[in-house]
Amino acid sequence: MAVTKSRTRHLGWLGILLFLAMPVWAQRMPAPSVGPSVAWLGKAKAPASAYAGTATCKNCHSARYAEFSKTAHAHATVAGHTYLHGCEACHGPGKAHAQAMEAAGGSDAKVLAALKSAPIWAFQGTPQQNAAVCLTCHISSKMQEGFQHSTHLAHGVACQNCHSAHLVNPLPKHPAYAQEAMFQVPRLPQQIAWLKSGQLRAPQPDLCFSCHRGVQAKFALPVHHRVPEGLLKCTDCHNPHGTPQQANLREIGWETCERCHVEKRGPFMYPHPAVQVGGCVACHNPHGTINAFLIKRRDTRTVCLQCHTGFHGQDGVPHGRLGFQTSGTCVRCHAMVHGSNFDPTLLR
Amino acid sequence: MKLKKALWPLALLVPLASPLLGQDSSGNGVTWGNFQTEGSVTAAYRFADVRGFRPQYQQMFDLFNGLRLDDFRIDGNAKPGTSAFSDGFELQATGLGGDPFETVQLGVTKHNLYDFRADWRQDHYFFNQNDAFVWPGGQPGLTPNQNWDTVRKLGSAALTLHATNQLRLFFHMEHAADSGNIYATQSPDFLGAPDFWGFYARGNPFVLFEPLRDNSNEWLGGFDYTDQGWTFHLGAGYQMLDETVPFSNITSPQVSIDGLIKGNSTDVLLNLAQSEARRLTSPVGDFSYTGALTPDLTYRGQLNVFDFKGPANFVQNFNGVAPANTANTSSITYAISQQGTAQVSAPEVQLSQGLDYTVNSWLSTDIFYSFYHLKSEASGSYYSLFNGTPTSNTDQTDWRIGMQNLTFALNITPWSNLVVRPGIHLMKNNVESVSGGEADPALTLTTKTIMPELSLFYSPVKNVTLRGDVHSYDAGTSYFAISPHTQNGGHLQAKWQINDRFSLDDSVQIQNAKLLDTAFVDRVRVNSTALTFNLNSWANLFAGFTYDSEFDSGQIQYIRGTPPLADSLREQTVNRVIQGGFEIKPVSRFGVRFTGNYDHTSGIGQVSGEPPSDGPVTWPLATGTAYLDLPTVGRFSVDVQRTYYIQQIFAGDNFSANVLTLRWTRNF
Repeated sequence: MAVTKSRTRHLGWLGILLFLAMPVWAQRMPAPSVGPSVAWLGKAKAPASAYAGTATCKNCHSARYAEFSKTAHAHATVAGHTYLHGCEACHGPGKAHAQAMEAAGGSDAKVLAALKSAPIWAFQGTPQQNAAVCLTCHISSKMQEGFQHSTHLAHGVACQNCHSAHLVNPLPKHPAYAQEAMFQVPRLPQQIAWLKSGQLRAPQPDLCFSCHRGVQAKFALPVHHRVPEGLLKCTDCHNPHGTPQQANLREIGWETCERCHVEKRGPFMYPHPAVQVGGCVACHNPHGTINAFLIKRRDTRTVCLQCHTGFHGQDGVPHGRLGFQTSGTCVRCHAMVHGSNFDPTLLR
Repeated sequence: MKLKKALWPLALLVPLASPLLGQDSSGNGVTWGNFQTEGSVTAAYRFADVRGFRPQYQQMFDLFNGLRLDDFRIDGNAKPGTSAFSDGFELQATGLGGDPFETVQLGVTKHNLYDFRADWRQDHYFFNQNDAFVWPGGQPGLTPNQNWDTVRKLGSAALTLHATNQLRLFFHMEHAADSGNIYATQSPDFLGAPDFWGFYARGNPFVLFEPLRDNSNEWLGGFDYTDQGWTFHLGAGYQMLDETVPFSNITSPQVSIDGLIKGNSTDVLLNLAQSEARRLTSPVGDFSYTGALTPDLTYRGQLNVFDFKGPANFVQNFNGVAPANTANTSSITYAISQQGTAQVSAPEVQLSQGLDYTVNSWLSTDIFYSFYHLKSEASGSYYSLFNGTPTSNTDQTDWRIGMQNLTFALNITPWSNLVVRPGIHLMKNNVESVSGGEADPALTLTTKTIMPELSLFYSPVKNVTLRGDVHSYDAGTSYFAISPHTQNGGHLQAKWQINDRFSLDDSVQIQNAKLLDTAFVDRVRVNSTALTFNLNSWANLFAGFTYDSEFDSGQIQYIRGTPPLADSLREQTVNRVIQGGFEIKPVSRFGVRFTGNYDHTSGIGQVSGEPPSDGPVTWPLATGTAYLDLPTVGRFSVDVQRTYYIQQIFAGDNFSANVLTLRWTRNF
């Protein structure tokens, strides 16, 4: 009994040390707020006899299989498709590949020759070809159906640039970014973060920042949406798989912003035309600025004066020149700047 | 009270964790019923020392003294064949006990049967500029004089049922609310105010207390159906917003915030009571489809529908003392009451259609058309009583906005390392504003835009990638002066994975825009460089630098005041952001980490040659962490944090802060 307890304790210590030694990733809300809705649409690319079965793949690719088996992909199948699941669902029929590799017997030259004579689909095609394999099934998802036409794919970003089906190529590790450390955003073990967050190679926003460095710098400015602090994720506003909206926003018009900023929702009796036509980004920079309220300009009056200046047949600036320093910002009086139901000049 | 607030999440979650902590570890985690579980809990105590203008620290950080539950997480996976109702569950809670961002996330899943997720998050928002600060030019109170202390709460629940492989049913519920205390400004203007009143009231706002309460809910249900290569998505639901805001004066008698106005101390507000409310409801519809007409031809489409409508009303009564004439040579006492009701409606629809044709293995075409239409109609009736004199009015405003977009693009992928996507984007935008039955020419405009665009991906060697795009457009005119009618710009990003340990990337953005009507010019120049270096398994670092400049200038036209009435505005903001950090773990149980940002913003804004009111800003923040892993006990961390915020012209908000946090993390 004492030996068992001691062994258990040592295993526990070992487990803790291994756990703590694992790379970790930060996230306050790692999982998407809506679960996947994808139909299994595996397509046979060869007769059943050309498929080797996952057990065969596992013999050589055991590490990848071990990780793959924890994912939703491992459970993706339907009755009647006895061979169209597991590794070969994405990598194609592998019997010829397995037999050729077995015949190569470990000789490097023969292995290379076998890979040429009996290739396996290893996602080394064009970005469009690589994405097309994933979209075989994922085109049935409302969130992913637009990827073939997305700005990401147009820039050569295929599925595997952001997602990893086997956790074999995570992004390079780095220490927590400053705001993440300041707010002590919890860090999950890498495998758990990967499994929870759509098998991303790194959690948001790190993954997005790895390309969008200019946006990362905007979020490091004093006034920003709380993305580095983990409260919000890039995908709260954007759908990286593509949408008909500008900047891949998730919703039409101003709906993306008003999901949270409910008090700004119109319609109003007297809408601010800038909001009505240009949306929130006419005046705000949503990622971050140096200015209060995420206003685009350093001096908030400049935002107002850029339009209210006699342009387009309108009246000029309706206040006296040199009167602004004593009157402060325009919204001190025009407080209902997003729209009013009771005053055309947005005073109340 | 704060301690009580801090302890309640611990009281709830520690009992949940305690049976797990007490169990024997075997393999990965511990056994809880039919579930193999693992997780962690992190408790922290923070000491914060803030000097300077504390509200600015509260706005940017809001991290103060006290006990916190930084993180509680438990994940469970059913042992094969043991759990009929679920394959796995997960629960995570963060930031509980007084931190500004609190979250809870729950998920329960059964593969190929159902997926349930629930999220909850709170965001404490604080805004309070130093309104009493006197600018170097001698002017007081140029700040908005608006203070927020509010909490935004966002919650959602989503259930996806896999009825069959082809048919998935979904039910979503979203909740968003904003509540708390706001001090905001309002000018004591009213319907039918005499001319002399405008000189007083419209430049003489008072601070009012506005306890805010907004609630928005959405319920949505529908299905995804896939068959014969086609997928149809249909969602239908209902959305509603309720908003109530009462207003009141904060003292009596109360003076306006504009201390330079003549008679400020005698022209007082005695009492104000106001109530505003509105309710908006809308059906929500979302339909989309995608499928293959032939093996080479795919077709897709989408339809989104909203129709927000509802009533709004307000009642206001206020009295006080105000000037009796524009020269402000005598005063009157006044009593004003006014009320208004409005009915608004805005059906909104977006329709899109797309067609892809694959010509061959390296060439495909994509045609996409979208149409958006908003028809906003509103009517209102208003009434006021000024010292016994009534005024009434009715009004009707209509907006019709139609936007059409047509895009044609070629996807050229001759090799796996090259993607070229030339395209042309045609846009037509109709905006019509009708007020009192007549179209308003100043707010009505049609614009047509042609925008050629090109995006590119090229990987000359395996470890180097280049991605970029360029675009150019000329709309002929612009609806706003703030949005230019010509724009040319582009991005370029280069990534170099030098070896397994070392990566370097750089991205550039350039954009030039003009609006000839107001001589408005906008120039954006951004360059970001980042480096990541993984020395070995126990040491890594990153560093980055971003230069971000935006320059604007334009002309403005005053309708009154001191000549010259045609004048200019000019503004430049240059942000320099340095980010960096390193982590070293020399032995298996001990590690140190340092990470920091250094922001410096320069550039000024000038309106009509007046002295700038805002100047350069410097904002560094850094965290140094040391942690020690003790077997069976867990990880102890010490975070030492330092930040300060310095504005050079408006120095009223400046602060510095030192923060010490002690943390304990236990995995189970």
